[in-house]
Amino acid sequence: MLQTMRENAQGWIAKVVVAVIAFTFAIFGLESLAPNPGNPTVASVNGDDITEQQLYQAMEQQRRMMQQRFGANFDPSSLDEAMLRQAALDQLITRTLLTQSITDAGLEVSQESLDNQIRNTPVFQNNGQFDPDRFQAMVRGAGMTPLQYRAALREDQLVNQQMSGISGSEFVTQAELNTLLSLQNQKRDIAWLTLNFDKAQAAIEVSEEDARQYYDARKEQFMTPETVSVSYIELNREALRDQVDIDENDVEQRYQAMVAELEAERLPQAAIVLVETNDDRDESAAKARADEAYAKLQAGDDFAAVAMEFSDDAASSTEGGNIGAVEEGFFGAAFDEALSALKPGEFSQPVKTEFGYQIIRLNGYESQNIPAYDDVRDELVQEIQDSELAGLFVEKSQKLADISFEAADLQQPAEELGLTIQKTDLFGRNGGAEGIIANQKVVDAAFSDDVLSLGANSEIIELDPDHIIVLRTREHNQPEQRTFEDVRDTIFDLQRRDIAGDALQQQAEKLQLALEKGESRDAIAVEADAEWTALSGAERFSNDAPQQVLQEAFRLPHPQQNGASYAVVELPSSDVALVALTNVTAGEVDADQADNTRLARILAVGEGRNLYSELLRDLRAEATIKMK
Amino acid sequence: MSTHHTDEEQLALLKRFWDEYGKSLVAGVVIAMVSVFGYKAWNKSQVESAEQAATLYQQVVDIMVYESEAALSEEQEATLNHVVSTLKQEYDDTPYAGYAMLFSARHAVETGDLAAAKEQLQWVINQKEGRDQEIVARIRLSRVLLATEGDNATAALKVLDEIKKPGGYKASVDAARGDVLLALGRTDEARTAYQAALDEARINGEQRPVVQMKLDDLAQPGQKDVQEDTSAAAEKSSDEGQSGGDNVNDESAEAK
Repeated sequence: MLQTMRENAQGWIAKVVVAVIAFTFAIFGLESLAPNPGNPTVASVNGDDITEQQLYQAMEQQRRMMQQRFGANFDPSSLDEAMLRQAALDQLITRTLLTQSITDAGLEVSQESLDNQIRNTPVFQNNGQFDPDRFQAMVRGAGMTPLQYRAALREDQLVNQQMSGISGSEFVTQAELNTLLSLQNQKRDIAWLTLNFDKAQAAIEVSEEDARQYYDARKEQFMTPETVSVSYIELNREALRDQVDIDENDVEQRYQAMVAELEAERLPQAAIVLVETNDDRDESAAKARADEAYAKLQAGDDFAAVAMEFSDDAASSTEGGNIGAVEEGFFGAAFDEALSALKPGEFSQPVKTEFGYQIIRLNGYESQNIPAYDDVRDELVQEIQDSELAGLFVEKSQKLADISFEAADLQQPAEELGLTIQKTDLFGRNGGAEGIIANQKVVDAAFSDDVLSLGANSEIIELDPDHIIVLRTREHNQPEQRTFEDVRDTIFDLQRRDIAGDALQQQAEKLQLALEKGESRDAIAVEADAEWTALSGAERFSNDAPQQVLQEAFRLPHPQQNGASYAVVELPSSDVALVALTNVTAGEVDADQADNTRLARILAVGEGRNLYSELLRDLRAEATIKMK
Repeated sequence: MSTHHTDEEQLALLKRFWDEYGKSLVAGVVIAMVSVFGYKAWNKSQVESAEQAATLYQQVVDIMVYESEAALSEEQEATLNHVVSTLKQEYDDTPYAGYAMLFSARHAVETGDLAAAKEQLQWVINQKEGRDQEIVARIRLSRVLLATEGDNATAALKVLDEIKKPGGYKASVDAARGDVLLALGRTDEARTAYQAALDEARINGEQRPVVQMKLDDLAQPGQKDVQEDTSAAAEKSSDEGQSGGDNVNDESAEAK
């Protein structure tokens, strides 16, 4: 059989098969080569696969977004992995559905339009002009190739086309707006009567027996909180300062270096004799004159006198040739070169500069305050310490981590590192107000399994970049049942509140029932020993009545002719209000056309947004989504 | 075990094969090539047509979404009309014609021309360019009919009833249905429709304050705190209708 295959493989059948395969690839491309075992599928949406790798990337992206949003305090490990995964998968599914939807609909965007959008994106521009290099750099910086960026942009545009077509075309008719305004501006005549909670509470007697029952039924509510205290050793970068060995030679060297640097910064002070070339004096004449001056100086003539006689520089010739401190580059490179070759008191040969021929003398250097060794020693020592501290701190931190990981207590690491063991007060899972227990990382570590259950030393906890600690449990108080006597007052209080609340509610409901059966409101007021507050023409968002009362009043049924609707509502103060609605007046429709147009547009935009979310839901409802 | 063929034998084999199948083979290859290239050319022309339509459509979006704050200028008006009618006449096989007509309908409503809006929405419905466009056009047509003077509520209800499967659009369809039913005086059904719209929206984490306000205004005695109720409970109480004050106590207790 195999033999036959091999023989046929050399015959024409094989050629046909190869031709077919080649043809297939030529038309459909390499993607027709199927599955990738290293990258399993997590879900399929209408037959399109979402792979593990895509999901991973989406999760990473979400983490980064959260990080950006919540800043440095954000701890990525605090995210629930399963939830993140679900959210990312959800997003990918939506994206896939959208891509399918725009492809099926046959939406397109022209290359030209994409080009335009890229060219007009401000971040890709330099001085208002599109800059291809900048574009490349920005896109690559975002981890994409320009081609990928283009594809993403294309998809965005297509999604936008669909979104605007569905949601941007939404409107609100005049009739709808009128209905809405008439409802919104509706006015209701209301009245309410408040049953006082404190009064009700004061009337409640709680028996010892009831309180005990209450306690027995809810024992788990009356536990002491779980608390711990910890011992810890702290490594403080600043405290290591004294441990840096200072070699006096190092300080000396540093001082010398400092002096050398200061000296290098001093400016040279010079004097010159300048022989200019000008209309009356050509190059060789000037050279001859400068040589003459130089000869005089060589012969020992006074520089000031020579300057006076030969120099064309009006400002310095009368000042002994002195031009003061010379900044580098001021007179050109030839001048600087000649000057730097001189020792104080020496003068140069005539140098050709752009001004003519110059003889330069170095008078000396600007005086500069070079501090005395003793004055700067402390400063220098501190500098040396600073540069050594960073390394020392890292080294000690490492050592602390190693030792405390292996040690069964804090004693050993403390001794080896010369640190003292400190301790905290008791604290609960919410931490404490000040000190290290105000730090959530410390609290989390103290209540972690390793520390609390296994009794191990904690890992290194970084309080800030210069402080680290290692802690272990010192005391641990499990939550304990508090005795009845201990919480007796609390229970009496709680129970009074419970009973009073129920009683008040019942009373209000009884009153409501009586009102609905035809009892007069005045009679009810007498019975409840309270007053009605009436507000006619109350608006939906008024400040003249408690918010809960208003809300309830606008949810009540329209009253029958000459009748009223009633409801009971609890207020935030625990008082209970009985609400009466006696009349409803349709709202006025504001005639201001401009206002109405604006309002209609705002409403339409909101409705359009709803409609687009519905489109997304609909894609999902119509799709075949398989989770793997 | 077959024997190896010599070169001559193979040649003879090939000749015989060619004589027998040559013509059909050539014909087959030609047909295959023509269909592949023909398909590709047709596809290309489709894409090009869609690209042109997309560029035109973008003008509509720019005018209606990005540029217009208040009323359109005369120039914008002219451009809009021209572009929309070009899309409608020459690109009606692309989805852009439908989107453009939806925008055109919005413009007609905003300028008070409900008759034109009705016509344009009806055109979109007749196009059958995917369910999104059709459902959206139906919801809007029902609302335009309701806003038109005269007795149009029955027609509006029919337009909505034609949506056989509202799918993800359930909340908006039910809200529109509530308006129509209310106009027909079928208050109990309207209440049920609004409640269904709210429930659907709430499941998906949305608020629809306008629908809530309409529903609240239809409250009836004995039906309390619909906000927290499930739709089943709400339907039950609306079925019971005017149940009077007898069960008020129970309901309030439950609500608490």
